[in-house]
Amino acid sequence: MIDSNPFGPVRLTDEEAQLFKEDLQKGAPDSAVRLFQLGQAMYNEFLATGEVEVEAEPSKVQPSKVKAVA
Amino acid sequence: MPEAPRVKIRHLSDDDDFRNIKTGDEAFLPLKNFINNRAKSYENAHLTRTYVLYEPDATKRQPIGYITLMSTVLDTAQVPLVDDIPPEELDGHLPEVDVDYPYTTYPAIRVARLLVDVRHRGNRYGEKLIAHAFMIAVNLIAPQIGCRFFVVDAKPKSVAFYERCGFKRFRQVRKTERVDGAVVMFLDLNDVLNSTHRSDGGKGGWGGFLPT
Repeated sequence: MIDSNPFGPVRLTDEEAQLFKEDLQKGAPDSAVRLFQLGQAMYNEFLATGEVEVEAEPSKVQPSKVKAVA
Repeated sequence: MPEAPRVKIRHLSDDDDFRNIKTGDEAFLPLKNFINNRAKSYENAHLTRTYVLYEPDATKRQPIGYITLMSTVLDTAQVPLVDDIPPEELDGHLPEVDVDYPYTTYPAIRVARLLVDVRHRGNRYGEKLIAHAFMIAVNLIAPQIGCRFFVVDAKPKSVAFYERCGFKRFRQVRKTERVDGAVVMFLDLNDVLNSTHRSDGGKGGWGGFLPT
C-alpha cells in the first residue's frame, strides 16, 4: 500500500512496483511535454527576476468545478 | 466578464498573510491550516520550499495560492526498475540503456501542498504553479544532483487536474485505501531530461546545463 504521509516517501509493494515499471515503459504523456513548454517560458523570467508573471487563461470549466488543490 | 488581475509567482515571504484565503471546501481546510501555521517554519528549517501566487498590484500581501515542494524518495520495494529487462525491450524509458542500478529507491520531488483560492480558480493558475515547480525540478535540481520523478498526493477530486498536467496514478493493488483518500500520482521526468540535458540524445553521459 502506498503510505499515507504527504511529507513522507512513496513506498510501493512489489506488485505495485511491477505495474509502475510497465507504466514507465509507456513514456510520458503529451500533457507532460505541454507542461514543459509552458514552464520553459516562465522559467527564464523567474531566474532573472525572482518572480514570474502568469496569465489568467479562463477555462471553459465552471470555476466551482475546478479543483486546484493537493 | 471583468478582466483578471495581474498575478505573479514568487518565493514565500515572512510577510505573506493567508488568513483570508478561501478553500471552497471543508475538505481542503488542512491546506489553509498548513500555509498559515506551518509553511514558514518548514521553510526556515529547510524542509520545504513554498512558492506563492500573488497580485502585485494589491495593497495587501495576501497571496491567492501556493505550492509547497520537498525532496522525497520513491521506494519500489524489492523490484528494481532498471536491471532485469532485456536490452531489446528498452525503448529510451526506464529501464534505461546500460544502467546498472540494482537499487529500489529513486530520487523524486514531491508536490506536498497546492492550493488556489476558490475565488481565482478557473484561470489555470494551478497548472502554472505545477509548471513552475516542474521547471525547478528539470532545470535546477535534476542537473545538479539527479532527480527522476515528480510525485503528488492528490485529493480524489483533484486527480483530473493532475492528469491534465501529465501525472499518472500509481496503480494500487491492495484494497486498503489511504485514510485521507489521497491518490498518489507520478510524472516521469526522463523524456524531458533526455531532450534538454543530454547532448548525446540519451545514449551516453550528461550534456550539461539546459540552454536558456
